[in-house]
Amino acid sequence: MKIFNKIETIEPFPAIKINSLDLIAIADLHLGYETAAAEQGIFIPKIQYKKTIQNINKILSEKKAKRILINGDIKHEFTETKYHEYKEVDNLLKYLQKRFEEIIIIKGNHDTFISRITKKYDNIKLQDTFHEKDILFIHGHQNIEIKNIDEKIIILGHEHPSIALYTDIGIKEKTKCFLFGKTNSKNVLVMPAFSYFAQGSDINILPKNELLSPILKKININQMRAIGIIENEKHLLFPKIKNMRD
Amino acid sequence: MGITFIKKPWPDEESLSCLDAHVRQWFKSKFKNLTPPQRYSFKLISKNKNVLITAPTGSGKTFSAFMVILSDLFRRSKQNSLMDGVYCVYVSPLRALNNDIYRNLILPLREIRELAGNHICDVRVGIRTGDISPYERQKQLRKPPHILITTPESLAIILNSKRFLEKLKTVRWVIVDEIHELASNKRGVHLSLSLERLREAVGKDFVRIGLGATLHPLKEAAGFLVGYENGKLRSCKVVDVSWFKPFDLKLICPTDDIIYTDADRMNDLMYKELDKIISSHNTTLVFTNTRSGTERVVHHLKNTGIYNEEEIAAHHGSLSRDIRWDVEDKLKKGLLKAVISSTSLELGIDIGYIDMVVQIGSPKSVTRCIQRVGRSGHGLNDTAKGIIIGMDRDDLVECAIMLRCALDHKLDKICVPKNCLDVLIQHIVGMALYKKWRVDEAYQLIKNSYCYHNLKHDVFIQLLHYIAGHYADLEDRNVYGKIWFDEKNKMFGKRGRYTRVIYYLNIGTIPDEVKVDVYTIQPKKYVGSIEEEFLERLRKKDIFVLGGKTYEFKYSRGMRCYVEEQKEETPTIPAWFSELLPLSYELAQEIRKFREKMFQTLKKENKKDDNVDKILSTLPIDHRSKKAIKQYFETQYHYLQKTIVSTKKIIIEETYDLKKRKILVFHTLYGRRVNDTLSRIIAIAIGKKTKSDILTTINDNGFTILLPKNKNIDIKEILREIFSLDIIELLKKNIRKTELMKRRFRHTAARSFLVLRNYKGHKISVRKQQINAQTLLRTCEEINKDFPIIQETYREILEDIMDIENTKKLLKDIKNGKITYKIIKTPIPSPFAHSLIVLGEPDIILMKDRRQRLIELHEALTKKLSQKTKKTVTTQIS
Repeated sequence: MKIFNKIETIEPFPAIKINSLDLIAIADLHLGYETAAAEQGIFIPKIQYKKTIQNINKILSEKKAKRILINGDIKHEFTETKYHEYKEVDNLLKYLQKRFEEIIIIKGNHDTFISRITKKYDNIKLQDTFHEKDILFIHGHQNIEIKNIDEKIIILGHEHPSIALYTDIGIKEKTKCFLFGKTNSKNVLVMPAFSYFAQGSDINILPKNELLSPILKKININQMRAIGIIENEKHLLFPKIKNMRD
Repeated sequence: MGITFIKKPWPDEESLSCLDAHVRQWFKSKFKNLTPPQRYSFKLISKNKNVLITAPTGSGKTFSAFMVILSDLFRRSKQNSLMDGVYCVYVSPLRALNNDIYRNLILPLREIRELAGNHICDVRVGIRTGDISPYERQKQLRKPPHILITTPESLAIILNSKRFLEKLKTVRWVIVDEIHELASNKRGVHLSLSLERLREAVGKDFVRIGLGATLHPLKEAAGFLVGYENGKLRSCKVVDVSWFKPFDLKLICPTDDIIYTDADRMNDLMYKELDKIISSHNTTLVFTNTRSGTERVVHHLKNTGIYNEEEIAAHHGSLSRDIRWDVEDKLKKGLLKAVISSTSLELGIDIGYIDMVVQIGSPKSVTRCIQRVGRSGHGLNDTAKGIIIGMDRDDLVECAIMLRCALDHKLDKICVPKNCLDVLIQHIVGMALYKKWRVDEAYQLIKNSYCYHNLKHDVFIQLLHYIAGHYADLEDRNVYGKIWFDEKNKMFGKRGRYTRVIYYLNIGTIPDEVKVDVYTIQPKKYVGSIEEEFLERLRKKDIFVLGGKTYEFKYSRGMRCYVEEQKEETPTIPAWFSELLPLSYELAQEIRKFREKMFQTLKKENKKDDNVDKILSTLPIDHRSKKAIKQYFETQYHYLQKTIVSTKKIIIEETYDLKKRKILVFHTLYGRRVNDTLSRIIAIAIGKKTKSDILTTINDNGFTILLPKNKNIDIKEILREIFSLDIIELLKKNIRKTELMKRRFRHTAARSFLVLRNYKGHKISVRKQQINAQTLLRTCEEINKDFPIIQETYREILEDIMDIENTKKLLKDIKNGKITYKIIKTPIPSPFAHSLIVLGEPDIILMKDRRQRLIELHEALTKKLSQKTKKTVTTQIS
């Protein structure tokens, strides 16, 4: 599905491709989630790394690009990188290196101590933002003024957007989604989380002040639209958020 | 060998001759005679037999178990052969009871020692529960009590304390008290494994003594107590003296006209009866079925002005421990005129002076009824007196049959849960902490427990793989594995730095529960809170009452529940649903038989020989109840055009609810757990057919299915379809999306040490446990749909909450034509369906709307009936 003409969603995944930049982008991988949970006494079997690689493989069997961009939160743990987390991130980077000429990693709020791993590789760029040809990638955990941005398209992560849908008898179904629309004469796209564990925040239910991203808190998401991601299905375009509020 | 019932008591002199001279002297100085249980137990215990004794409270049950033990300990003391070790372990599920037993032993220990001469060595008794201080615990290590009083949880912890275990090598007796409270739940399952582990640690068999109130079947309870040895049930002598005390039981109806008395008046009349009873007795214990009911009755009684406010007290689980202890204390001292309780006072501690038990509304099970009434008439020769006040017609029928069954000693069955994998995981981790095990040796030990006797070997092996974390990569196993398991050499043992701590801090089977906050979605507003147990029972589309408003359940997240206000909707689930015990299968069966008898009599009845009255006169009920029940059956009989309801025929009524929506009413008297199961199956089948979600309501007497608009349902076809389906798979798929699954999975995961409640010094909030459990469930399913804890959650829901066995049996009987069904179309629901139609209405004591609706239903129906009669009459004339 096309967004803002230049961006194409890669079905049925939470990923996009931008042909003009020769780039595939994903966001919010949260590798090492299980280890962090185990540290707190919740023993969730490890599954995410495998799922991540599987999905990237599937994406690559359909789309090719010279570059890949990870729009923040490649890993989960805030504090010092644990051995397992280190290993998972390192393995992923090794894997990506073989398949892309360039890897761009945008720093998210979880990506502390990440340079220890990235500096081992010379084709990995670790930076706070990435902009090229009127497109800006930024994770979105920090407050910025949209109107001060030069680029026309802003692509965010961080929020893990999802929409909640009710069947006619009130069962809630939840699906991860892209959120996009125009605000302050800019085109904004919020990417869904790539992480297996991220359930997402129900943007059509949560009041504004309960959204995660300080950027989203300030804009009117009611006028934006969502593209739902359902496993093994085509992406689904939903109406404006304000029409899905009840 | 095996389980034998002992019917003949020994003469008092012979029993007393078992005791040491000073112990006997003390006993004789305190008691004139032996009580019935003692006439059996002294001999049996002194012959080192395992015994199960069931007897009512106040029958000297405690001493029946302890006297011979005290005698033996004093003998040893006199011979200077009493070692510093534990000789007797006493386990009960209640700390309050533990304290009571402790106090009751201290005195005889002191007095007997005085008789024997203070030069002999002290016989000590001590308590070990979560309450005692580390200092106490240390002291117990240095000077262990000869009699150790503990709880199932503390016992499991002791079993992993190497140093204390040394002191347990001397154990000769284990007493399990309140066995009726343990045998049918996971706490008991946990204890049964602990006993086998204790047996292994002691190195030789000890005498097992089970004490309990009335329960059935005793064989099952005895098996639970003793377990197996070398594949054979250990022998056990069963002494059943539950019935020596006479019971005086009566059902009363507070009004002459149970249908047309409005709610306020009904309450007034009920209180009037209650006042009458309370003022003519010393101390009355009143049971209501819900906590809110308890509070309202207390409020009323305190405001009547008849009693001193201090003489009336409430006692239920939501009150703080201090308040409860205070009430118990006052009870013992005889300071109370009435105490009102929901369930908390039905077992345990000795509560002294009660001479009357009143139950408002049905207690739902014969056993429970007897247990409650058995709290009265404390003296050995006193009569246990109980009155049930019936509040509606179903109540009256149910209670009338219940009391008849009680007088006939027909009890509901207990069901011992089998092969619970979560409890087993806990023990395997505990066992591994203790030593290295050969797989077969451990398997044998576990199979000695009655609850795991049929555990399959491959299931056990699979479980070991799982506890060892073999689903994870090699390098992650020290995180996920709680044991190491070497399949080739068939050995397992402990693993992980934190495992011991995890075990200590997370042991036990009772889940953490907190209130769930209820919010409306738009606008997001807090509207109140509900018990998690209630949330658990909410199904899609359910309407319930909270703070006087009706809400539709939408979804939950963590410990929050989201709803939408639905004005003018009829509630589909009563607020007390999770508190009220389900009607048992056995009692339902008796009511079914009664219905059949009544209808057949009505068919045969001629005016001269009033047979219905004859049937009713065999029941312990008052005149008003008789009248109400008779009228109830007559209206039903005539309304359904003399259709005979029988034990072999189910009536399915196609009718309309209060909103004129078409519904099916299944008059299935097979216990609420069967109704729960069956209603789901039928709703799923109809839902599939009509491609819509089906709303159901259930109660003890049947269930309703709300039919989708403009869709025709052929119930025959639906049933045929169900016969061809794997109903367990069908139910699992349906359960998967429910709150019940989400919540119960958390409990199972916590018991299996996968979602910890307490870790590295932090308590983990229930909310966090819940959210994480849901993630865990998704992940486990992804790895293997039959992950042991997923299996266990389904087992718990299907077997312990629902009743899959009896449902399967019923469906099979319908399929074979052993049980038939008849579909009857009615314009207005028949009387037997009324309570189902108004089911969701909030409360049994404050039930204005519910009564109003019942009255409306009845009025409409009477009109219909009289029209019909007129028509018949007219036809006859012409």
